[in-house]
Amino acid sequence: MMDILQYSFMRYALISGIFVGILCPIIGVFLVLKNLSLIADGMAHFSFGGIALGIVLGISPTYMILLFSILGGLLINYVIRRTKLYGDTVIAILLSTGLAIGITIISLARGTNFNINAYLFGSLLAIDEKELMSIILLGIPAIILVIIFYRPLLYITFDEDSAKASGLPVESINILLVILSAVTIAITIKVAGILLTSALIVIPVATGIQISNSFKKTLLSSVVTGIISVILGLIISYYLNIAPGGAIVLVSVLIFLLSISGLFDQKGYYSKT
Amino acid sequence: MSDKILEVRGLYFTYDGENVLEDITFSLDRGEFLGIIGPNGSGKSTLLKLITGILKPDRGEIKLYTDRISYIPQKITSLSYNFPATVEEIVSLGILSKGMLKRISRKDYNLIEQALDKVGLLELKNKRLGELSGGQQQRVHIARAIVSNPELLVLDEPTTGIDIVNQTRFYELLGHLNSEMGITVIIVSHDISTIAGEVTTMAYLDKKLHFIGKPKDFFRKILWPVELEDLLSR
Repeated sequence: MMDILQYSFMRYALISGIFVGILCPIIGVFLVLKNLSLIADGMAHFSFGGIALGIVLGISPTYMILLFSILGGLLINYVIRRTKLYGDTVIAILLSTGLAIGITIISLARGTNFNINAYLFGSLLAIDEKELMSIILLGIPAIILVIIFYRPLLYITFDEDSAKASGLPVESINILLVILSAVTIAITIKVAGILLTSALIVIPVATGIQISNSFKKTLLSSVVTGIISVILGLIISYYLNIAPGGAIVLVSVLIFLLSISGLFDQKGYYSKT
Repeated sequence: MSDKILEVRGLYFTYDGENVLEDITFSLDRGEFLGIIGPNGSGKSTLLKLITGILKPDRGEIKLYTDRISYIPQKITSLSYNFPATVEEIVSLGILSKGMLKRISRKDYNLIEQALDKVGLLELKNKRLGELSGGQQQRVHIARAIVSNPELLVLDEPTTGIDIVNQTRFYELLGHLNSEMGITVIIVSHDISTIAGEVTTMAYLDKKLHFIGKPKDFFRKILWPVELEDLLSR
């Protein structure tokens, strides 16, 4: 283990990964329980348009991902509320729109030195000091905001109408959740890429829900699952020389399969049957 | 002089170009227990959402003389089924009506325990919500609603899918909250027989407010039970 850490790129990868391991589940738990598991996928894909635009215009892709994820999340929220469509329909439309914008821009700007793979599949091992700093500067405020707004977020996740009747500013809290999700996505795309970002947001949470009795324990076990997936996935990818994004997600899937296997059943919901 | 808690005047609400509510006017005094009945699609749930501020009226006005309102929506128990939270965690959400970022203090924990004790669920406080029966879950939501010491409690069809014994217990609990704690209660139901015994005021809503007054007048003057049954089963 220690010989891994002698390389600075591995240290940066580990620190960034641990941030993602914490951030993804603490945002994901609210999205999953609001039946919005796919919204992160939609926002991540939508941001592909932003990445392409950023490359062409010479703007840092991280900021473009952030901007486009926020825009995508707010659009999804708005369209769901203003139309008769189901959430997954709206997400599917927006997801494809973002991808189409990205592909169109890239095809127009042929000749640009554009490493599309890094964004689609992640580039955890290529994270440098500057990128690590931007991950920390975005990640820490996001974690603090979730701690501060923990209960209001739980209330609107449980039931928006009751929360609204009690005087909570439900719309503003929803917008906060979209912004926090966008920050999470912008950081996670570096680690797992557009294609696997939503996996890290959803799968550790699914494990947490499966093995916990309370919301607090769900949150905690999701975070532990997230961190274990990242560290174990990174170590495996180093020794087997495979893509870290894929290894991390596969570890999280494995933990999820263990959680539904019945090994933890004394705590789980299905224990009573 | 009567002490009003709610005044509704000339209220209209439209959905998809169709009037859901037309020209609703009534007022409610503090300490009353109002039961609203009416057929499906008569605008009962919409009226509650307008009163609690979840929806905004298209025309007319709603004046509430309190900001301490608790609302228990329809079908909340089906939503609770898979939610990973304990009874205590759900009840503690009620504290947030005192301030969104309020930390839960020692005193608040006492209030949470008192509320759970009042609804008879103190021993189940660490259970996952979905492990409770429908009737018990409804009482969890009552505890969540009363923990913030509300002046107005609004409930939408709370006993759907609950057996008759637990329904009766539930209405007794509401009656107790109303008479002992002085909480004004507004309840929507399509089951006239269960609410008629507890309420002080009865309303019949079908787009328009056809009747509001004492339950005995409702039966005697407005409709004979047979006709009412016919009306409700439309």
